[in-house]
Amino acid sequence: MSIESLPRKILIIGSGPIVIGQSAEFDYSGNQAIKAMVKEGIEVVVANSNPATIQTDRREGIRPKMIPLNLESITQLIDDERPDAILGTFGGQTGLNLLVELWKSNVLSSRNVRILGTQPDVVNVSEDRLKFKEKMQEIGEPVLESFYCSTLQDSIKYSKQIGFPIVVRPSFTLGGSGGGIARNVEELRSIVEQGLFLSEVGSILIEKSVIGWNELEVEVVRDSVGNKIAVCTMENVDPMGVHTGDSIVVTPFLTLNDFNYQKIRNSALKIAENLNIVGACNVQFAFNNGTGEYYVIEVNPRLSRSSALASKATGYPIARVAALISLGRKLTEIENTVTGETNAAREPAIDYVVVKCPVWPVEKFPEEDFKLGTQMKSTGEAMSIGKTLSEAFRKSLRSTGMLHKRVNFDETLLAIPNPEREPQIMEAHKHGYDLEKISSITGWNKLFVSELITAFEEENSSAGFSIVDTCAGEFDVKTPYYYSSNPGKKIQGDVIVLGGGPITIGQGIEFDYSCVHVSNSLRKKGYKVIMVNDNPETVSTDFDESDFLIFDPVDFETVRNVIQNSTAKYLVPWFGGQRPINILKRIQQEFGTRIQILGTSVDSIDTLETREKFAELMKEMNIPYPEYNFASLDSFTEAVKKLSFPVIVRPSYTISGAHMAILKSQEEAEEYLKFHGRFVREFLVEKYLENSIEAEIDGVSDGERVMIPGIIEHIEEAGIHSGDSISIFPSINIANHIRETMKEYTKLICKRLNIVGPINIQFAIKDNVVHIIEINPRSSRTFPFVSKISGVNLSELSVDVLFGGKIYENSGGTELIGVKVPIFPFDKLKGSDVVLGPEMKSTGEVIGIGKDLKHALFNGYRAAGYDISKEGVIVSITSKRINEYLGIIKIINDSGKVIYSTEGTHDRLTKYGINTVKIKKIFEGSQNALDMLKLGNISGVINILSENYKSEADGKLMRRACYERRVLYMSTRSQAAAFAEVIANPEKISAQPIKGLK
Amino acid sequence: MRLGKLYVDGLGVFEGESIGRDVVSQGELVFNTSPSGYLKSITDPSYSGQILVFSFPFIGSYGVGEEGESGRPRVRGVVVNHIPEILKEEFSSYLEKFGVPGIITKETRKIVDFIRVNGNKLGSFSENRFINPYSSNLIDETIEDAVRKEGELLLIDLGFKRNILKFLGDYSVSIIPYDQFNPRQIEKVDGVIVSNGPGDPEFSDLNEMVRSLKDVIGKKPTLGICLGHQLISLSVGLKTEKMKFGHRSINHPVEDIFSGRIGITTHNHGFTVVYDKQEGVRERYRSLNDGTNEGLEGKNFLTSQFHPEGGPGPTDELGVFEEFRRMMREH
Repeated sequence: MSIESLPRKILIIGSGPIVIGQSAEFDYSGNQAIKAMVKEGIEVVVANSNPATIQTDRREGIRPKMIPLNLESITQLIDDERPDAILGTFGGQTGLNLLVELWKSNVLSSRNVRILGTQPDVVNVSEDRLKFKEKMQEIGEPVLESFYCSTLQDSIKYSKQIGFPIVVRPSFTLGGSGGGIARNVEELRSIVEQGLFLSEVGSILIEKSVIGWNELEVEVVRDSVGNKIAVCTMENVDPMGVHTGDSIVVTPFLTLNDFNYQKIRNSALKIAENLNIVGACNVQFAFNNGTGEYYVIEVNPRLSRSSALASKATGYPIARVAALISLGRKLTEIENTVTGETNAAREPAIDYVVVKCPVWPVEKFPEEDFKLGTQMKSTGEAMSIGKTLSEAFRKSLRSTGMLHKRVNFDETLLAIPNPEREPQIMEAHKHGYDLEKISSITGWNKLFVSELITAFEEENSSAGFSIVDTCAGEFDVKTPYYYSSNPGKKIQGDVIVLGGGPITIGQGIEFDYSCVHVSNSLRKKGYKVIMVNDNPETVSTDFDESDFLIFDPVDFETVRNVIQNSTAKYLVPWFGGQRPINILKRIQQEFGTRIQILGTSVDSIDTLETREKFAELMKEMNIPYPEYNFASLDSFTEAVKKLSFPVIVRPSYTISGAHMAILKSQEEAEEYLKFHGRFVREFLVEKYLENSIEAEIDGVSDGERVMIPGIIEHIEEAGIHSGDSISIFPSINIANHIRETMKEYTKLICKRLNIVGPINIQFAIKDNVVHIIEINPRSSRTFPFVSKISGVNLSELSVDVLFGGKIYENSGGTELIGVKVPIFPFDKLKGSDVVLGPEMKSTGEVIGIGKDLKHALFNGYRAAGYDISKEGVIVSITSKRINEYLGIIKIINDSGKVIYSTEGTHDRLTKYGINTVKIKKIFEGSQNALDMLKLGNISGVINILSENYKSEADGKLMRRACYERRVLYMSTRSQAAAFAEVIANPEKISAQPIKGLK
Repeated sequence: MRLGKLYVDGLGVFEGESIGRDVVSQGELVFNTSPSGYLKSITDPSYSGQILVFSFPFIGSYGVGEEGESGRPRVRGVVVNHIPEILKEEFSSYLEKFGVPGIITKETRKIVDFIRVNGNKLGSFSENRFINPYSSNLIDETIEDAVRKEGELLLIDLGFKRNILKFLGDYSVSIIPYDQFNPRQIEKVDGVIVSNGPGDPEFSDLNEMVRSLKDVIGKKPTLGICLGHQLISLSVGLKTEKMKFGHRSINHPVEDIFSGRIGITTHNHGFTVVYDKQEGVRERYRSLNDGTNEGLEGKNFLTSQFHPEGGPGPTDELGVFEEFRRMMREH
């Protein structure tokens, strides 16, 4: 493509909210592509519904559009913005599916929008398993015996030809949703039914299982003239059968000899060639190290989680190169930005070993069976670099918390892949199992077992840093990055910024967003930034986002090495979430004045994080807060009585969601104690502010004044974790004087504790009384959301005050309303109970923006995948509370929706003059609420339960069915009221053009 | 654990765990960045006279069962950062069996950086005394196969890698040591391969061979690989020169000037051909890293500085063997 034919304006589709299987890696890869395009002078429009992304920032040459990622709104966007090209391979499976949809519906051809990079017909071949299989057979690449089925009957028929065990893979789903391994017909039946439902095209593939084989991946980059290289080889430590996203992975191939190594590499290149990939792709193999046989498992014709890992593991900027390739550049015409001299056609060489280790939200979902299989369940990952495998392993054990994890040895658990397999292997070793035996039970190669055991036993001695340079020393380098290893070199740098580490629930991409801004602001001020983070899926670990990137666990050991082997004078820990805050005390104890922790003092942090000190402070300042008591088994009943019901109880020694409950009566308390008393000895009992409104403030304080851009109001009541609640910014339903009180409290606290930097305070408002329920003296999850709506860059402002800057303005202004809608992983975690409570369960969020709440919510619902234009609404409300809902149901009914209701509700609504269709409760048999949902014409379910066992069981089923079918589930009055507000007068709202923040 | 010492000319002495045979051994220090095929590298005859430093720090991870490029190690010694504990004994015994010394040192990157900045220097195991390997005939110590006379192809052996024969498996090959070659031997064969091998192409023992190649070039389809490429270049009147620290890896991009295609190739050379315009000789391949010549072509001959046979490394061979076959078919 010559310069003249470069596109003028390009639309890049992002990946939307963070979900299991699609994490922050697409913000990183999309952002690299955007930077490359802008540098070429092309105007870039970015569509992404996820506000916690760098790619949706307003920057020179970039027009971010935070809109729902669906055919309708992207089509509208194309009409508004008139791009002449589109790139759909940088937004994960979401972006790719959307690209194919736009292509199939002729939206692109009719508007002369050119598709850059790998073309949709290629995507069609690689994504449709039957076509893929045919293509592979045509080019002589081995694929597994398999059959494509669109009915259950077919799958049973073919299963006889293949023989069990059989793998079931649905076509076109996210993160392999709905797949599984069937060992017999019964298992096959249930997995196939689910798979057929989840597949967007109603098809699944059943195939011969290669469980126990070695799983390999090769990352390939190919240009439009057919030049191609294998950027990185990756070997899964966990054998086939465990989703690669849930596997521990090492780079490069370690157990393959050169003959096999090249065989797999050649196959990957041949496939990229024959599929006509233009850009990046990832090829997965099953490999038998004994016989040398292999099968091609799948190809991802796009940027992926693996390509992010491959980039960070080798230093080769795959996304940037793929973006330039999509513009027609040849590999030989693209510079290697790390070495600054050679071209992008050289395969990277590494002089270290890399380990990727996933993390799972085990503690958030105590009911879930975290046995690992073909359904990915991890939320994030840590990448570790070492000169040896054991060194890299040790770092990953530190980062994922497995190093000191205590487990009871259990041989049966050793045989089942699960999140605690590393400590289980170590225990087996302590119990005298030899390598051979552990290897045969776990399916891990002996080399991996042995290196893991060494990792547990040997502390890394790190003195200084080694470098990642893409060439293992063969060339001089311009912008390398670093990892701790001995012997190492000292680095320069002024300010250490601590990142967030692996993404877990509650420790998400929002923190990376802030870290990137902080790094930018610091560099603008002329400081050299040392960024510490080991999450390969992030923008902050892109090599040019800081001056010295340290790719190591965010923990004390790393920080010690940085302090001792760099010229850094300052530490900024406030933007990486809770993880960096937890090590501050130790840093101060060990290093005192040798490193200056900028901003709020460690003593103030301690006051806020120690329960007794916090309560003392609140009392002293005369600020209401929920009363609490610590209790033992013996004093439990008394402690609960003192506070009066309802109360929230949790174990006092852990922040896990297990054994946490809201108790409303003496009977419930006794029940709770009878069951949980067997596991828990010490409790924290806290007054629960029932039916209160929850609100939050994000601000930046200079110790005197506080910048408060506005108040975030939650739709869900207090008691549901703030991260799981739909949030409105700026608040519109809270009375002025209440807002003023919240602001006043914030200012008083900041002054009292001399808070310098970011602050987040959570409030519960009950009967017009403002209570403070939590104070986080750090950047919060809502920083990007608030920054984007208010236009106040809170991270940048924080950097100013950290270096002595003063706050002059103290409030932001916006004419728009934003809502943040949480996204939950219940469709991936099938065993978990779909219930919201004090423990956070959402993995990500989408944003809806509008001129008023109604429009914002409408967009928010759509961005979250809820289709509220469907005709029906199911209503089931306990008779005790139905009166509160009559008005709401009336509005819904008047808006033209058909109300389906269960018996009691039906009678009551009919009496009130609302037309409803009577349906059965789930336990009453067929033609019930669940069947209605399956028919698929339902836009929402309002389910207000009575407190008896049967309706509780009904509730569970209903909630799960709703989440799996993306139907809005409402269990509180405020949720139902918001829904009613949005759908009232629907014709007016759909006539409004959908536009993101300007 | 046995301690060993490696002396590096101009840099100092490195102490580390000694593996293999504890003997005095000297050579030119070179490095290779490949993570795979360590056994193929160690047994590659082109490494004769050299001490091989592995940049990749986790060497030995799949044992020593891999088929070598010749029957025994050819390097003068091995320098590694680390060998996995469970495989160390096996690796060390292998070197021991063939009398080759090795050392495990955490400082491999330091040595690599030193070579990159200062060019290839000499190294020595156990003794602080350096001997330049290029002053002796390195090829003679690598030639192992008994002379094989009858064949459809003639391979002039300068220390060939076994993988070359694998790519021509459908031909019978007669193998003649370079010093027993004479141009009459080409009459009955379909084609001639001038193999890879160690050392300086302008070494005096090779002069006669270069002269006799003049009678072959253009007459019979001829393929030259690595040293073979350099000798053919000399025979057509080009010059060679020593490089700063050479090319020795499996990840080098080479451009086929004729087709514009690139391939990722295996390199192992410390000398390079200086190409200038010459009647009947075209530059065919070029390094995309530093622009040095990677192969020539002309009537009935094709040469590649890189190793189209991989071993270790990729076989994106840019059609080298295919074209050689075509040449033979059309001859």
